[in-house]
Amino acid sequence: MSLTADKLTVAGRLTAASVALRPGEVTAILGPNGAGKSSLIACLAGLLDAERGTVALDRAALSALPPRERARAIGFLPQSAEVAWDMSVETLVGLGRLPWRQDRAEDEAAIADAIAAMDLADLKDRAVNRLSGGERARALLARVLAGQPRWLLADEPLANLDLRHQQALLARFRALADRGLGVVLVLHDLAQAMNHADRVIVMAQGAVAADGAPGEVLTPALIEQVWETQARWLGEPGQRALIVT
Amino acid sequence: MNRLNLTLVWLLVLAVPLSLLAGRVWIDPSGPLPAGATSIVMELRLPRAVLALLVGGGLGAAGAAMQGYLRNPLADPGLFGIAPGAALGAVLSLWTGYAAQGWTLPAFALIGAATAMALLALIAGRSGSVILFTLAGMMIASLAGALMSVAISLAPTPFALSEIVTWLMGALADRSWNDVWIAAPLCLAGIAVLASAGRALDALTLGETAARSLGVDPSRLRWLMIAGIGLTVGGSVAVAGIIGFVGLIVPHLMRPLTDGRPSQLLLPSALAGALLLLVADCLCRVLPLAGGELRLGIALSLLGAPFFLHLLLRLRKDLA
Repeated sequence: MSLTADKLTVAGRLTAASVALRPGEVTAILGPNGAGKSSLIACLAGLLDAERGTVALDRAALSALPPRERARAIGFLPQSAEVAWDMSVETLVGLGRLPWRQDRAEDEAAIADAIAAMDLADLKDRAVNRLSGGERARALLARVLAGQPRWLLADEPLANLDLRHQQALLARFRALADRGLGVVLVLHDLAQAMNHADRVIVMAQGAVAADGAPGEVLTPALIEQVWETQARWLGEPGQRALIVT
Repeated sequence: MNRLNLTLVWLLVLAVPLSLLAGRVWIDPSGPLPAGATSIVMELRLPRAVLALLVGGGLGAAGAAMQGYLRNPLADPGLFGIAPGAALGAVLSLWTGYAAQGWTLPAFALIGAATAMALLALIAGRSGSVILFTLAGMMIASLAGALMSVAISLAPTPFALSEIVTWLMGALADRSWNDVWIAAPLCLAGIAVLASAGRALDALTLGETAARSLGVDPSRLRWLMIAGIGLTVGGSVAVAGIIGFVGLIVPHLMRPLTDGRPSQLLLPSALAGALLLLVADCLCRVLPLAGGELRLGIALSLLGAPFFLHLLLRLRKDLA
């Protein structure tokens, strides 16, 4: 099971970007604004066609897969938390079943699993519009999980969340990776990537600037080169803090 | 079938026979039948009731689908320019005098609707953007509206002018089984096409990106919307003229009774649209007006405009 991008090029956004992702890992895609993070994750999710290069899921070209088959394998959590119509949490989570052929028993089991995984059992009948920001983020993530994807790709999932909910969501991403899911997150906070990711992919000007374990990749030299900011790390592994100097 | 749909079906089962009894000549099923009762029911009221069901059902489903597609509770099937396109076709048939032959007016209206659909597909068919699609629809609507105004201001005879203005008000009076045969296949096929888009509309609840990630093909959905709205609205306008507000009000009334998914709103909106038009048409028929009966299009506008204002007032809090 693999998800790989080979020399992806999208004019003005990506330049020959290649990555090979592994299941069971939390991979963070990092980079300054405009570095191509969202474009890369959109290509990996099959939502943006590259002009050159290919994305392959289990060695088969993603663009050749029927959209519903792709949707069953790759769950995508967009940055927008939009839910156009008011509905219960359970109905919202059920939307994640759309790529599958309707089978009531399977659907109900998958929805119940996703609701349980996100600790939403008490809230399942509540209207989405009455949820707090953190609960809404969990409900939207449960929606993706209900599709039982093998890959979970999320574009800035921690934006608009307070510190406590950011930590809670990161813990859930870790738990999902431990269950064997490939988790890929676009993040802005280098310390979160350092402490919670198994691997980081650093983007700069549309290209992959570095790729590897966070402790090895996110050096002060690389941070200065990519973010044009002088910084150093404090603390122990797993509890690192970034000090801008 | 869930409880809401069953209730609506039962209401329709009750309302249809009642609508056959109501009118200028009231028919008391327990008393002696008035002269010509059979032909009044079979030739006048039954086709009219069937048309109300078809047109109301088509417009209700089209409104629910439009609101789901645009993710906007204020969307109306008229927005895409297909209804004004069909109306322009009908106006041209009246303007040229061809409408005197039975099938010409609906045929012209359908050509108008098809032209509007083709223009919409040509301008916005390939792009994925809902905004471009809506803007193109609005421009087609405003162009058709302007051309209708030209036709009205240059009407060849006062008779043609009065015919055009009266027709534009929308009505089901003096319709026959011929109109039913025109509207039935179009409205029913349109509702079926819109129903097939239900799951894609559900996915769109989460925005366009999420919908694509759920396997929705935006281009296929757009074609389904053009075809479904075109068939229902084109078929409706061809036989009944412009009947506004059904597509706006009905999905609104039904939405709180569903679980919020657009797919679950399509059938209740079709059934409730049919019921609303049937009841409104009966009221138009029985209201004692000196100059004839109230036009259905006007009656629904009288009902719909205050409703729309009420809706805006309610939404004001959310929008502020």
